Amino acid sequence: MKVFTSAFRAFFVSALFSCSLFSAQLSDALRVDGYANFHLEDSSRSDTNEDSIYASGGLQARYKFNERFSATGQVFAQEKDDYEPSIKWLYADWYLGSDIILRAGRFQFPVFRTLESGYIGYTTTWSKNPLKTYGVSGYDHFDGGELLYRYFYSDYEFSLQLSYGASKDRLPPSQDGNFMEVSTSSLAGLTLKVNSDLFWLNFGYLQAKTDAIDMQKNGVSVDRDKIDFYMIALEGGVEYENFYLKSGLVDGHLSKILPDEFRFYTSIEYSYYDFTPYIFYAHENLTYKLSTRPTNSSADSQNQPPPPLAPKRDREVEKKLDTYSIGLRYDIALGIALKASYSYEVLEDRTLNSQNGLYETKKNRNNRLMAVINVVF
Amino acid sequence: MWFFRAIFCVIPLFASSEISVIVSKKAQISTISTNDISKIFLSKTKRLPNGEIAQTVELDDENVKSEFYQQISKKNQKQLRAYWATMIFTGKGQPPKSINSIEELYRYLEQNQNAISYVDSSFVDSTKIKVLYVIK
Repeated sequence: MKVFTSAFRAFFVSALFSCSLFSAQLSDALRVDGYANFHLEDSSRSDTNEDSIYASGGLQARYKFNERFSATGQVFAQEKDDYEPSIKWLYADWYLGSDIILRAGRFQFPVFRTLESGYIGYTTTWSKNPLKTYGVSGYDHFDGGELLYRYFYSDYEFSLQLSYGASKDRLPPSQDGNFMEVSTSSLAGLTLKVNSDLFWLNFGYLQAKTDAIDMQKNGVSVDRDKIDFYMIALEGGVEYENFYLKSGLVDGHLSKILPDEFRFYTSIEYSYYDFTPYIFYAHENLTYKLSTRPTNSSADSQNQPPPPLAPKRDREVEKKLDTYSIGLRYDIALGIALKASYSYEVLEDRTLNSQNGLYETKKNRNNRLMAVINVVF
Repeated sequence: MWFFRAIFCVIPLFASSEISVIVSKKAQISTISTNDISKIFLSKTKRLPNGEIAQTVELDDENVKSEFYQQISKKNQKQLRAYWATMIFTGKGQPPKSINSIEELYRYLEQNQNAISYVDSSFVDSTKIKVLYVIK
């Protein structure tokens, strides 16, 4: 299996490299674009299951029916999912005139500008995004509609994006094999942007109603409460001479079923011909406030009636991650970037012990070296 | 393919460094600002100054492309590639249609009166196209 995976990986990367030499415009109406990311990573932590070599990539096709109407689909595959393709984007768009575009289909969450295309490594300077992709514990897309409007005043471009839809996703299974299905309805998003030659600023707001179901490996499903969640994000960038400063924060309140999250990053890069050195600092804070019911393991479920349900107990866990990173991007050719970075990470787990009411803190430090190849074609 | 591209890219080095923004002789516009040129070719707007939907098209000539985008966006080729990757994969915009020869470009402009392009000024044939703006 390992041999197969390695062979597939080699094939995957070389195929995408070969493709990068070809034009993406296949005809007047059809355009195909793609991207690939190849990561080599070394981490000093031995208690993680993170792969040291992994790849991901995607293909997008766009068909233009006429100047006002087109359809676009994008599939994404990564080693973590055994290269099973997933649909990142699939939509039709209509240009209504006066710089108004209406779209319907599947989209990425529109909250954070940098991370909207963060899985396409070529679009960013970093080896690894300062923040993990935002979303509800890993899922980051919805099905619905979007309205985009652009307005220009003097040297400034203002844009408004309204999103509405629903989503259903299965979160990665926990260590005991159980997993959670999250259905999100009435998802509504608002994104406002202002751009000029020198700076850009992006504000995003997203809210939804979420229904989570615990799916246990024995087939039993437990419906959890319906939860309202909201996320607010603010991100901006300033360009001066060859310097580029970027910073952003996202605050997500999900409560009860999934961790509340606060993420922040700031990054500065300097562009010198084909080289772009950078540094960044990122902070992530996840707070779990879980209401769980302790299980009675001593009960013999075969011969005795089930014991009365124990009262729910609140459990609070706080996870913090601080990342300090230094790295370099080298644009070796048009459409191909090589990147290398070193990151120092401090992880802190803080758990409230319900027996004695005291917090227990566990700290881990990690050194991470990365080498990355990003390709677009 | 790379060989031909390399040969093709050398030619403009001996040509004028002026770039002309051009449209069909039949086009309903006669002037354009640098601001509008930038917005149209970076796919920030789909509209020409007269309100019609612009069809952007460009010659597959890396040197002229590089000079043109440096002038209108202050981005070099590699920054521009990253810009287009973001625009394309997030559905925010599309780069201009690419055309291989000047004859084909002129033919395209002639057939599409809302098409807009740019060429090295030494290639301008004013019997076939209209010059809207000259970037020096």
